[in-house]
Amino acid sequence: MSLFSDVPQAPPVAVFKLTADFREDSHPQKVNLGVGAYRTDDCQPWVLPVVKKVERLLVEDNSLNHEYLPILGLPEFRSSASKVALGDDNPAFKENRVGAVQALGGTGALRIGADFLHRWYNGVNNAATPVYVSAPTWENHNGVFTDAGFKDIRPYHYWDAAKRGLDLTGLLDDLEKAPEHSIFILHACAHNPTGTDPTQEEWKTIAEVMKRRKLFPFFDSAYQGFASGNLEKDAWAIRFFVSQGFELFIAQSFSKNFGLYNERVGNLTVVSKDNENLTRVLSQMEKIVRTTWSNPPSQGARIVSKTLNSPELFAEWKDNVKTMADRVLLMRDQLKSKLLALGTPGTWDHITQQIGMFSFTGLNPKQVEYLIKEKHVYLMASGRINMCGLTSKNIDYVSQAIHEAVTKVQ
Amino acid sequence: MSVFCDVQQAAPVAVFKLTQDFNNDQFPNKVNLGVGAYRTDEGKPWVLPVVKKVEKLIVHDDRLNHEYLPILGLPEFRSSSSKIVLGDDSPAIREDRVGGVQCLGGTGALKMGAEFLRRFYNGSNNTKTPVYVSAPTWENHNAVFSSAGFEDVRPYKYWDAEKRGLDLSGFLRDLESCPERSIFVLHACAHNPTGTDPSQEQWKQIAEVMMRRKLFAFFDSAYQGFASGNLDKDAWAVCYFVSMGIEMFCAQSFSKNFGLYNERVGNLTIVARDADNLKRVLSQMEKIVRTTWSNPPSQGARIVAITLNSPELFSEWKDNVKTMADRVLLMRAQLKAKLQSLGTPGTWDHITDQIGMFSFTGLNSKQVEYMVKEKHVYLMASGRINMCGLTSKNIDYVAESIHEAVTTVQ
Repeated sequence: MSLFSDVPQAPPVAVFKLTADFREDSHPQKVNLGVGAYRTDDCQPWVLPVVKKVERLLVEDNSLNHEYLPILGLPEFRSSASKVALGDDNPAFKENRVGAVQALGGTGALRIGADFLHRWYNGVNNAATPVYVSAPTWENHNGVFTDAGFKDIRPYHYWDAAKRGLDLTGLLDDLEKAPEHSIFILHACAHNPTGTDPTQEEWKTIAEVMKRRKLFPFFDSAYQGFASGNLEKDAWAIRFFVSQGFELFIAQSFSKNFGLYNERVGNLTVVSKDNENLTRVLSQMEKIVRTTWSNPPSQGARIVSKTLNSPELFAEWKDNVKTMADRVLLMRDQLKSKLLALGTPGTWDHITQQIGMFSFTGLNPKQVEYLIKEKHVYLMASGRINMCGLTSKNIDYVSQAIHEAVTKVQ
Repeated sequence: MSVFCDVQQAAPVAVFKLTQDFNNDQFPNKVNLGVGAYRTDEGKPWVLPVVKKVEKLIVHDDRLNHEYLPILGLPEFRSSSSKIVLGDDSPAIREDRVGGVQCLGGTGALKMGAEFLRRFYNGSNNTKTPVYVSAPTWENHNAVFSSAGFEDVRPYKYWDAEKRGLDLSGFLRDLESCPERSIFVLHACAHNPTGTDPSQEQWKQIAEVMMRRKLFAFFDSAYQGFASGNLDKDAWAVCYFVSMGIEMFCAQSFSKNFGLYNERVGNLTIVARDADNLKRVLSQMEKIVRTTWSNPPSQGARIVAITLNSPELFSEWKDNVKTMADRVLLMRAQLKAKLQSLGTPGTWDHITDQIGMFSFTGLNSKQVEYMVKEKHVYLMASGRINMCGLTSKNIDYVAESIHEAVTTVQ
């Protein structure tokens, strides 16, 4: 008899199961539009040229060693990462009320932030504070906050399936009705999975209600630079909220915009009312980090830090990011044109209106199943596709496949 | 009014505060015998030559990219890590009942194991299962298990201050009288902070009681190779327990034996009754990992995997490890010799009897304070010193300081 005989088999994470199925599929024209990682037009992973360059610099630098980083991480990484999000000249920096925790990717940043809020926000260990995540949202948001101890995770209206756009009325309604001090997970840009972001005017309205109702903004920023190709533009919402005097968290990921997925480079930016509060918050963050991973991994943070802190490398990086963003925009453009040219029923404007890596196609589960089983085109059950999975070589096949799915399957 | 106004200032982690104070100290003869990291005879950090070599190989290997690792980590790292502690020819490995979870250093491995046990061991979410940690133990053990949700973390007798050795009868008494199914955190070798390990005969006794009383063995293995200079010797206790057919966890760290402190290289080795139970356990581990860091960092794991899987590099690594272990042994021998020749009161055999990086000097807190404040020799309040902080240049000064502390302070 095993000590583990009552341990149930957990279902696999959907997006990784999709990729596993894709790998096993031997169909010559198979296409993977599942997991969110950038691909070149040859459908290969891309190590950014600036990353390759910096890795070489690091390995030749004999002044570097492998001594433990501070608990909160590499100082020059933390500050440059927060600057990328908030802007170098953000008054909040001069006011000394911005701090950061180097974390394990966006997930790690969300988790440390969630653990902190569970212990210290809206009372002490108040597991009952509602946490609102968008409907739909990244599949892991719910799990992260649940495992941090929150008992009440709720959806807020976001995606309007009928009009294929933002359900602003629903969203604002939820903001008005949420208990005061509720936590709201906001996607800074390039909403995952819908690719639909509020406009600047809409963000202003959202902020107004959140301020009035004392709601806590927790931004998830995984695609800065990747969404529009412009770092500042993609950070507009975050910066607006900070300018409105909010105290907030930003979970930043450098997985996508640096292509450093597997080095787990993230940063939790903390914006507080003043330095005194910030100091106490960071001291408690240290305690949480210490019992989770002790101190963070160096390699990815060094690469990002070196890049962000060198004007030349920074410029090269922005270029690399634009390369990725531009290819995505091209694929959006071409996919829509082809569907229009095929006369595929429905409107396809959302493909070019949506922003970032993903498109919420509007395909229903049956149509998705058809695509996977009959056409060997792999996408999420929600109808989400990763535009990066499209290439000049497969885009005709994919358009045809979508056309078939829409016309044959209801 | 800040939303963080009720957040308390957390006390700093003692060992890092010590290093901070050391860094701020201007005294020319200051010595840091605090934090547990290897130092050369020049008092400098040491990047292992084999690590430097492998880092260069990695950066020049264009087949490598930065795509996400699997949730459980780099497969070749996981398997070679488990092999290093259990032995290449381990029957348990052959029987397919050993699995690994790549984690963020030893801390991350302990954390993942603790989170799993809280959810699934001895019932479901049984937070009341007692967790026993040695008295004394690594300062972070308690907090890792508490933060994983365990409500009852207790000490088991370990260090006998009188005789400066293992309190075996106290230890065995605690094993006999604790609730069945309690979890025991065991140091695989080079006990931190006492440097005092059970002998093989003593381990056999410990194992017998643990099996009879159905206690769960959770090994912490942070110093394999570092303790005696021999990998197999340092893994004897873990292997012995596995050979007894029990199910257990082993949290492995490669921070010290690879000098890869800041890349966070760890592995949670899981030994289950059979492949089926292992499979279900690993599936649940994936869920826990997913909401903590999603998937682990690549760099450190690649370095270790490449090294362990190449006979030449493996051999070079063992050599590097022996270099470190031998220097520690030399410092032990010299410190004892010097204290004896100074005629410092007390017996100093424990300095050479103890094993690994640390020595539990037996200095009391007043004497420690004297060392730190008057002599600028920094050590932990418990009297623990890091032997690696000793060098041929400072050993006389340290020996004299200890002599003064013992003779002038009671």
